[in-house]
Amino acid sequence: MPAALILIADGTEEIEFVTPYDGTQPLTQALKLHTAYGNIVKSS
Amino acid sequence: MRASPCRCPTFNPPLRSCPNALRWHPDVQIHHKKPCSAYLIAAHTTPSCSRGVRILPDEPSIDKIAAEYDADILILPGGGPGAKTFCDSDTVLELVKQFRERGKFVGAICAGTTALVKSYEKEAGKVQKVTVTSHPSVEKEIRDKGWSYSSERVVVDGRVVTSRG
Repeated sequence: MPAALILIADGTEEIEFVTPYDGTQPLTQALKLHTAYGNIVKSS
Repeated sequence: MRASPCRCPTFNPPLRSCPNALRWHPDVQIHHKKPCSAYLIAAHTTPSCSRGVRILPDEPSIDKIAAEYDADILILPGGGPGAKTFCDSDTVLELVKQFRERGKFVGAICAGTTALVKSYEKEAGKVQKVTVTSHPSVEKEIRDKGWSYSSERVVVDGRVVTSRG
């Protein structure tokens, strides 16, 4: 399975979820969930 | 239309209200037609993002990254202050260089392109520069360093993917 490394640092823009995020799962799991649909981060 | 507020107190106000936040966008599937995983790594232990949200990364140190994660793409998100943090970190710049040298994809968003550009500086004359885009606020900086620049929203040149932000 392809994998992406997303580098974050102080001052990095927050990540926004296009589909609703209900807060019941860890952030990184949510990211994996979204990428499971074949998406890649893109700026707004 | 106003987005429904997130019920999670950690994300209040809802991130969706932030116009400059990153988005997971369904139409960017240039390289990942198959399902993929994403791992967050940090230049610092617990980064505080541009609007104060603190993110707990999967891997708090990037020193071991190359050995432990066999990733296909390294993504450098935007945010001017975050991009400056990347540019000031020799470790980050070395990681970008490693991905390029191994023939892997590097993606840069918004001002994150400046870190990509800086990673080339130590190899001046040895590595061919590619066409990139970025947030307009850093366009001149990139052009002044001799890079071919495009104003397209997303630019793909070889294995380097950049977006406007």
